[in-house]
Amino acid sequence: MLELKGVRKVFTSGDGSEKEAIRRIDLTLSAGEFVTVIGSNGAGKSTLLGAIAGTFPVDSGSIFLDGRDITNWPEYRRAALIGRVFQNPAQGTAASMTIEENLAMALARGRRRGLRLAVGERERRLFRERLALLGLELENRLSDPVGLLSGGQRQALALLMATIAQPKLLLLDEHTAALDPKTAVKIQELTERIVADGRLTVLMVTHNLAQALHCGTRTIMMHEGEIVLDVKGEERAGMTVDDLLEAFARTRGEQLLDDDLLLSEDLPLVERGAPLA
Amino acid sequence: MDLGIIAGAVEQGLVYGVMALGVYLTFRALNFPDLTVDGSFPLGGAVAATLIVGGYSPILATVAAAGAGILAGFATGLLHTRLKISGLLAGILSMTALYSINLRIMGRANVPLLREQTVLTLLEDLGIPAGWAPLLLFLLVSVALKLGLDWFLRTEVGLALRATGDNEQMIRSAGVDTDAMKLLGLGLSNGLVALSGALVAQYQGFTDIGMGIGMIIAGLASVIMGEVLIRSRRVFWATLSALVGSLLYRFLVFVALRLGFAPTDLKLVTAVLVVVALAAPGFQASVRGRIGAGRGRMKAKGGVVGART
Ligand SMILES: Nc1ncnc2c1ncn2[C@@H]1O[C@H](COP(=O)(O)OP(=O)(O)O)[C@@H](O)[C@H]1O
Ligand SMILES: [Mg+2]
Repeated sequence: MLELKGVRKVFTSGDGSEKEAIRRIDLTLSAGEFVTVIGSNGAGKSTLLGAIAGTFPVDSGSIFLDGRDITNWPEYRRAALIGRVFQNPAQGTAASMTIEENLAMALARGRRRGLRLAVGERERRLFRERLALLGLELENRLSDPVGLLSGGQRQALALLMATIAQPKLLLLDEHTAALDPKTAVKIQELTERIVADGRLTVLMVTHNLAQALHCGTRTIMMHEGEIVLDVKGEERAGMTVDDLLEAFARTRGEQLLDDDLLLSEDLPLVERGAPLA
Repeated sequence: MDLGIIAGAVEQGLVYGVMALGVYLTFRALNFPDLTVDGSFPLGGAVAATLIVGGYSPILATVAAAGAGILAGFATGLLHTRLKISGLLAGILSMTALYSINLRIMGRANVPLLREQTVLTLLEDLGIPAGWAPLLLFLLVSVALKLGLDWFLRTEVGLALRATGDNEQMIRSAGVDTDAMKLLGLGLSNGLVALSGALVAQYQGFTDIGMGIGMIIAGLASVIMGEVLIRSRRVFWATLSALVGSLLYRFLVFVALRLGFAPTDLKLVTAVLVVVALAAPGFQASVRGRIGAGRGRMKAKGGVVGART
């Protein structure tokens, strides 16, 4: 389904200094896998997702998706195969346009756009049906501008937009991190339901270690641009957050590091070993 | 104030309203501060006048003028998307280059159209009284183009174009080539502007190399004043507000002339109008309302307008 071979990305900042954000990443996902991605701040998680989505060209390596070599495809072309939700709800929706217009743009993903009115009765019916599943009563607000919605509502809409055209791959980058805890839980539940219903292949970055183990079918941990841990199946099923931390320490041959992993400033505090909130 | 003057203001408001629709398309729908306008407006006049004097049908000449405007818009778009030149500078480059091109097309600084066939004399030939021809034609053209633009902006491509102006990252990750959208928007916009220039040239009976100077600010003044009058940002109302703003602007120009301002002072008057409109609390509130929960539309890309929002 998805295959990365030796993918490397170096960023050059304004002052000319270079930062190797991901170094020689090899990663293969089979269809239907739901992979959670964890790692401290700056580990390269967002860069990994950006490289797959085509936000920037990579410096070496190649990327295959659905049997095609997409390494040199521009971002908009890859979007035919990839749905994506960002951390900031404002990033995934167009504020000045209405709910139905936003959904219509998402529905056209992967199709040639033409001079056909984008929203007709058929589309409205589909949108109402899908919006009703969110349980946010957005189905009666089709012609409201998205700018009027709350952050949680916008993120739910962004999630629906990323999945409404059945992408081959869904990329989620800390998509609940900017929401209040209650809304975050709601969006997370919604995500799991939509993924299960559509049998989607997913890469989900999260900073909640318990959640990383609890949901999905496989977990990878990144550190300094590399994948340092990759667990699935039985091995993963029996794991606690403590095990994760230890496994990380072992792989790196370093003494860990929970500070690094758990206390970086954008992390909400995860109780070690605690069940998912 | 006598009726003749008011009728004149209405005619001008409508014919320049076509230009204001173009400015709305780039500055608002696409969120691209395009200054090509000062060059593409006289380009339309130059192409139309030259073809008419050359014996071609005025309709063909007008359509060709719009086509030339589309190409001018593409030029700006290519400078911006391919060569990564900032939008403002790309427009200024096109505008500057067009000055020379327009002179080449015209062969001299001024081409009179007296005694030539124009779209207006064609109407008169159909039996429409000379006094009514401009009003009728400009009303028809501006309303038809407004409705056409409304329709286009609601199609799949139109939505993608508007989203390019609202949230480029979002629409690219929904599979749209945003560079192509910018090219399309700039082309359409400058096509409208050049069409307006072609009609104005035939209406006033000559085309002049200097007739584009300050045109972008006049267009912007129209768009902004329209927004103060009509608050809704829905496409139908937004394009209507560009037309209404153009009418209001031309009316104010007539008033300014009556108050004794010299025609050469009008650019200053216009600039002051735009500054006042931008600084007015009502306008700022309307901008803030539009921005809604999230991003500043107008400040997103170093817009010329609304640096204070
Ligand atoms: N556009 C960029 N320009 C320069 N450096 C960047 C850019 N994006 C990311 N980086 C750097 O690359 C590293 C990895 O960043 P990122 O992938 O965002 O980490 P994560 O998402 O795991 O927190 C960091 O050191 C970050 O500073
Ligand atoms: Mg990140």
